[in-house]
Amino acid sequence: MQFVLQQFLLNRSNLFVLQLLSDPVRVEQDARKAACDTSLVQATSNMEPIGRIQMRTRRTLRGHLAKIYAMHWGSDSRNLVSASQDGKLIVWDSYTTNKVHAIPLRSSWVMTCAYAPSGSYVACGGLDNICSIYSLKTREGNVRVSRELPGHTGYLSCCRFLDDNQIVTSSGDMSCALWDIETGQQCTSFMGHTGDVMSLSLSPDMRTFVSGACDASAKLWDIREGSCKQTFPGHESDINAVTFFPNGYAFATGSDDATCRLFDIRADQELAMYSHDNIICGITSVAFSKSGRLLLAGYDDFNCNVWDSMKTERAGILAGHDNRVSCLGVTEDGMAVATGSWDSFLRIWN
Amino acid sequence: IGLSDTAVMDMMISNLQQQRQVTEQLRREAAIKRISVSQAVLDIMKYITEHEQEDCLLVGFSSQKANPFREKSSCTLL
Repeated sequence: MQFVLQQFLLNRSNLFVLQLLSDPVRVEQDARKAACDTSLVQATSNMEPIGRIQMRTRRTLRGHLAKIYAMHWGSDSRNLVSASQDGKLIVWDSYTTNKVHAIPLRSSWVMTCAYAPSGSYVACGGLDNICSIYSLKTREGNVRVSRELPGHTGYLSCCRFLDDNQIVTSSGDMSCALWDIETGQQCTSFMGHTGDVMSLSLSPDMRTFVSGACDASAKLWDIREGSCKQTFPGHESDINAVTFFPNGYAFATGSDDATCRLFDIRADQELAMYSHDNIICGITSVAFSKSGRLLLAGYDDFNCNVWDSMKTERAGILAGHDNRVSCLGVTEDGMAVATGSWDSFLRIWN
Repeated sequence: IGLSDTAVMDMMISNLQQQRQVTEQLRREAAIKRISVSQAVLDIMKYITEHEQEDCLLVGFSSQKANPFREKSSCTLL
């Protein structure tokens, strides 16, 4: 076929396709605007202000020899697991600061870790593209790899257990996946993001999860169906962290664009932005306090800011780390927040 | 480019199929039912108000004895 004719036909098909594409995007934008009858700050103007939030470091967990990249609380609100590029997963008793387990990893390039709700397993993964499951309660009393889940074609950025046999992962290959741990197979693949997926958060009812990616969007996925239900644009750069609001109807994100944002699922749009002219660095991690009134966010500038989620004002600051805060988490009972840093320490605050 | 006729046809069909999938997904997302922002915020405020008394990071501890991370005393019951 002649070159000119080839080009003509390709251009015609692209134009046709563009016309098909533009309609639903406009429909969605109009529908979101129609639902937007007020702003969060306006709607919460009668809420009591909360005053200054001051927390102190209650425990410092020392033991890692290199940057900490991830941490996750156990559901007992006492044990937590942390992952460091010193090639170790450490399970800590945060009350006593004792190390319950120190698990050497096959690959030291770890980027995420997770604690199973039962407390029987932990998982981790990173640049090896594999999610490794470790059993903490073997008959012999030692910790060993119970399953390796290969399949992603990019780094493992985040993982979360649904239960002892199911885990959801997010990856630099732009997809998320649901795994059956027993068989080692991917049951479901969640495709749609057009950039590395950096973080995921399970809904309280475990039927859906939210993902944040380097395409600057967050997506809500139905776990059983494997489908993307909604997409939330707004951020101007990579989203590094997502976390559900405790009622399951909203979630917060943290991004390299130096802002955190609150999105509502049923209104299908952004409700609020948490930013300040003085804050110009990226957010690495986010978590809500038990009632959802406080949004905690870890930053590249070594601090953790505590935001009043309803007034969108900064209510406090957790200062003490000597390097980037890479991860943070609030206990299920809401009594403490843990921060992990590139300075190799974890701190427990309340 | 100088591709064969069939190669160009394959590219066009695959391109259209992909774009159709993207369009269908966009249509599904555009078609969902939405609630108003005012209703969404009301529900969020209600949740916060109902749970703020149990939010220790917000309201603190009634006494330091209630804080499992208080400064350790000489004896602790584990």
